[in-house]
Amino acid sequence: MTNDGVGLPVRLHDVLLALAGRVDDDALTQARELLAVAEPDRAVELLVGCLLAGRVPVSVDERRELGRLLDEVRSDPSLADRLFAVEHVPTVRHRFTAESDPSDGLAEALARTVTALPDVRGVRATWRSTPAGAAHGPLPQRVVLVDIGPSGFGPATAYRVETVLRKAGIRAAVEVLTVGTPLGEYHAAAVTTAREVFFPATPAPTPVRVAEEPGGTWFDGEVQDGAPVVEPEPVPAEPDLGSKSRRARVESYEGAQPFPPKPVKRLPVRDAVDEPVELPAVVELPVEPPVVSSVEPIEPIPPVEPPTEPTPLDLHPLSRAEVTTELGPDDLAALQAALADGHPPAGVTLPPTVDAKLSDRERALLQQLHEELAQREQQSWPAGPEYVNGVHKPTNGQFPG
Amino acid sequence: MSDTIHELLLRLAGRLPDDVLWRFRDWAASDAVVVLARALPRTLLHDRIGLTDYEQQLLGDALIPHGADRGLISSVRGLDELPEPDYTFTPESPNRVSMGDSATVVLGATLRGRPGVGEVRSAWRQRGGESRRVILVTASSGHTRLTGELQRVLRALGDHDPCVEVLPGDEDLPPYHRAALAASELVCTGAEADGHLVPV
Repeated sequence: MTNDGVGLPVRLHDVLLALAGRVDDDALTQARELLAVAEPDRAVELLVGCLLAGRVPVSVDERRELGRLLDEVRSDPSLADRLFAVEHVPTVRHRFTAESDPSDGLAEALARTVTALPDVRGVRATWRSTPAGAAHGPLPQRVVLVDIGPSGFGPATAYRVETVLRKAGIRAAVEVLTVGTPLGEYHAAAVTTAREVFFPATPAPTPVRVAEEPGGTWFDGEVQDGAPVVEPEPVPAEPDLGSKSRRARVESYEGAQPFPPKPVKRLPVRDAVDEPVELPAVVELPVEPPVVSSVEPIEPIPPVEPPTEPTPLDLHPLSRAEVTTELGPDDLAALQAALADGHPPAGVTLPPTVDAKLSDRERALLQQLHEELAQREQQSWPAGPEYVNGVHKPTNGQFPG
Repeated sequence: MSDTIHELLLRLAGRLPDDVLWRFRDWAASDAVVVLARALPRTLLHDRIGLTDYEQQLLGDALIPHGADRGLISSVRGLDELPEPDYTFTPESPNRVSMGDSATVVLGATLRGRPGVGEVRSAWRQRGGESRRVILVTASSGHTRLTGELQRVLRALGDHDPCVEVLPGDEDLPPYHRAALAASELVCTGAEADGHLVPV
């Protein structure tokens, strides 16, 4: 654990994640709340106090990091010297189970909050049937795992999700995981059994809805201001990570995709540096340590406007409700005509969420069309030769020369 | 010294948030007093909680030897006298369901006849629609350790922020504890039940 130029809240959030299952869940919840409400000094001291009180073993690196954090919040860094540091932190084995539906009631309680919070990718839940921490609570303990993207805020997400659940009468340990970052053993075990929370379709929002939901722009005021705008250029294959922070980087999963990266147009992401990365709908990586698999990303919420067409239902961003993505005869004809013309089929550009729901066969068909179009566009034939690489130069007007 | 911390934290019942108070008492019962020495004054300042002169003296005596900042302690607001508790106490929970009471059963099994423990009583505290159990125990020694132990038992039974008040029994109790005792009912008695906390 090094400073690495990463902000204190993010580093403390990482420390709290690393201590999940070793410190009692209420302590982690309180520390995350203090962190979220900009009281990192109290958060660090709370954590150190719980580690001391429970004589919880920490690694030498963790102790060093806690000492640095204490110093940075102008507390006494020597408090960390009292921690019970060991060479090898004993592994606390936890048992997780998804029996008796751990996701029960979560969708109703969380639907609005996960929509308002930035870059929440998915929510899962499981039961932990083993105690954690020196002053542990009742068992089984419900554990809610929230996946966020690089534009999300871990402490804020944990705090707000936990608060909403508590108001709904649901006590749960909320762990917020950033997509693409390695998981510790605790979270890897939890993820293995976790059941995804399916958010049901909700009635279409009305213009009044935003006024009724002031929290909708909390922490993400700049995020949802603009309507999704289709980018004119395909996303570069290799994202430029040059000056990004460690936390802002996301692993590329393109090698794990069933098909090569598609030159699809992307919706704008809140932070321009995060734009190039797109994660697949489902990722299964045989890597160690495991990483958070990305579930379907939430679309940025467009500004509320009077609907031009009456829509009976508006799917929740995390909704898994069935969406018909079969191409109709007209769309198919448009695709074929565009292929014949050599122009991209502008009328059938699909948003990423719909694109992610295409069947393999449809994606393969689209991929084939894209590849053929791209191949034709790359053939910028110079004037003169009638043959290029043994192929007749096209003379259909699309590639004059 | 430990008794000083215990007395101070005892007097803060109903004034500090429950989730903070049980944690501080847990720290006092363990090796985290040095962190308590920093966290308690800061919490008092943050939440604008005042102390009487006597409590200010307890705060300094208990925590300055463990590294508490004298400047922070001096900034704690003063109180002329302790306010009356802003709670209502009843013997039974208004939300009680007829499923038995595992907490009192376990406390009875744990503390009945235990040396150093006097009466164990239970009351329910209400404010703003929220109801919370308060356990009142008299003990002749080991107040801090007994508080920590009972808190952990109650947490394991599902009380996330347990309210355990271990009373020395021979001192002038704050208004909060007097009101709680007046509405409490007996759970069990230990080996030291010479007198009664509540007249019978």
